[in-house]
Amino acid sequence: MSYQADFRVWRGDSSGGGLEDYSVEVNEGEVVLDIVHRLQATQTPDLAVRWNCKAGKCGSCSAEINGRPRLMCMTRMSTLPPGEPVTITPMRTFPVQRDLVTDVSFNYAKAREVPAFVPPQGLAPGEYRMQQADVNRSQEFRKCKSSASSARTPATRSATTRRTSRRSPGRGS
Amino acid sequence: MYLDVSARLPAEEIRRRLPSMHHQFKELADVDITAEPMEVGPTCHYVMGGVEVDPDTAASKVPGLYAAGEVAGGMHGSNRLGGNSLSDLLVFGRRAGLHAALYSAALAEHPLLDEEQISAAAAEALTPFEGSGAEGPVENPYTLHQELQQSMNDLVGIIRREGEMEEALKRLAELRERAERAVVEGHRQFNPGWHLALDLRNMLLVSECVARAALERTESRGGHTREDHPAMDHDWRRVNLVCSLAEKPAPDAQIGVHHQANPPIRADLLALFGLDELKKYLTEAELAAPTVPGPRSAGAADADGADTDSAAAGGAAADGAATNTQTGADQ
Ligand SMILES: Cc1cc2nc3c(=O)[nH]c(=O)nc-3n(C[C@H](O)[C@H](O)[C@H](O)COP(=O)(O)OP(=O)(O)OC[C@H]3O[C@@H](n4cnc5c(N)ncnc54)[C@H](O)[C@@H]3O)c2cc1C
Ligand code: SF4
Ligand code: FES
Repeated sequence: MSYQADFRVWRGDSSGGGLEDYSVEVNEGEVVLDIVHRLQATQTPDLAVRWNCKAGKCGSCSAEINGRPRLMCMTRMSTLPPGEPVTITPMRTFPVQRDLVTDVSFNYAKAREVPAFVPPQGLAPGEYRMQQADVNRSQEFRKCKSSASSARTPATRSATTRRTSRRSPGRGS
Repeated sequence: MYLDVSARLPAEEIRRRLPSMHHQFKELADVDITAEPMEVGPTCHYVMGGVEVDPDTAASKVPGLYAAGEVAGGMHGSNRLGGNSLSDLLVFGRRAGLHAALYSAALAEHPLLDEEQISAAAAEALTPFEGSGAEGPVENPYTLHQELQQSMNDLVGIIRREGEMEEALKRLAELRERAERAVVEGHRQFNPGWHLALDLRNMLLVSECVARAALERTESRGGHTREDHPAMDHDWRRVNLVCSLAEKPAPDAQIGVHHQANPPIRADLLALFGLDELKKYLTEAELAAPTVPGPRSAGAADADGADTDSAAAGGAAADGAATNTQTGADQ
């Protein structure tokens, strides 16, 4: 079932901007990022928005939806109040660059502070084993990136998280 | 098609072993994979073809340009095995970086950039803002992109047929003609429509490489499945298909494909396999060669470990590593 939804999207750059109104088609099962892409393809080809995985893994599609930080690719249209306009604004945590794109270099600076993984000395190939307990621990960080209070932090990009998520059948290999 | 893990594992085990899948299905589709089947479908996963590189140095045919990882071709033959991309990145990423640095350091003087070429490239990049002036209605890059995806998916997808790939090549020619009329609006800072307009040219060329090589390869191998040629052909194994810009580009053919012989597999590597396994892939003549199955030498293991990354005898990466669009790629 399709319907027209009202979207209010922040357009502008570091010097300022404001909300603009659009009416966009929505189909069953779609997430907010689908609608933003449709908006780009049909009305606003220059609307700046970052995204990569469309699977809730990379965190690059973070934006504020109706004032709350969310991943646009993991926010289903059906979870938003029906009949009300959907407001999308850039993350307030980071300085805006253009439209929904913010400067997240802070994350990369932090990521560089995380020490690189080095296997213990003196182990032969194959001797180093990943324990299930370590895998479980990393799952805690996964909760952050979709939590309503968080900007995506480098913690969620830890090698272990990436490894476990990549290993899941269906998305892995 | 449905995949059901709920019948095979206890719910707790599914949540523990497949946490992200469990979460994703719940969140996006209201499906609880611990209790019900999930709907699945095929999708693009990896590009097997890519830039032709030398296996020892990762150097491409363009002096000073190095390629490693998914963008490089040949490493995985016609079917990359699960998990092998990571090891590819580690080994060949190191080689590429190392040899790019050596190349650069060895240059007596750094080549000067040709101002004319730079201005030509800059002007070309800005064309979508003004439009090329080509005859016909202006085009939306997003629409072209969508049609390109749909055509490649429908006609050069998982099961390939001659007629469909020929049809795909026709559509690619039409899309290329329309792409010249792509026009974008707005500014130059983070403008996705503009980036897409610029990318279209490369997407169309790569799509043509995939379609042409897949049409040319009249066998099925790895991820390349021809309904009209369902069997693997031992003679084709020795052939890599190399795509390059056509010397005389035609409106319907920007790409030329030529056959390039694969170097024979080194004896010490062949010796790692049993005869029954080799029979599946090698021609009668190759099987009769005295090197099959030969003694195992230490060379294979050492070539990779050497810190100097010297061009160890015959190269550490054997069969097909110096290659290209082996199957027309995909999945
Ligand atoms: C869903 C999925 C699961 C996978 N799981 C596994 C697995 O479990 N194990 C495994 O071994 N492999 C896996 N793979 C494959 C593996 O992840 C990829 O092959 C690998 O990450 C490719 O790395 P790369 O560095 O070659 O390319 P990429 O990681 O694709 O990097 C290319 C980079 O180039 C940048 N770029 C592009 N254009 C430009 C430009 N014009 N200017 C500047 N930068 C540019 C991009 O932003 C990107 O950062 C998986 C792949 C997918 C899709
Ligand atoms: S740990 Fe930080 S990022 Fe994670 S949920 Fe808590 S506040 Fe958010
Ligand atoms: S696009 Fe990666 S988390 Fe949304």
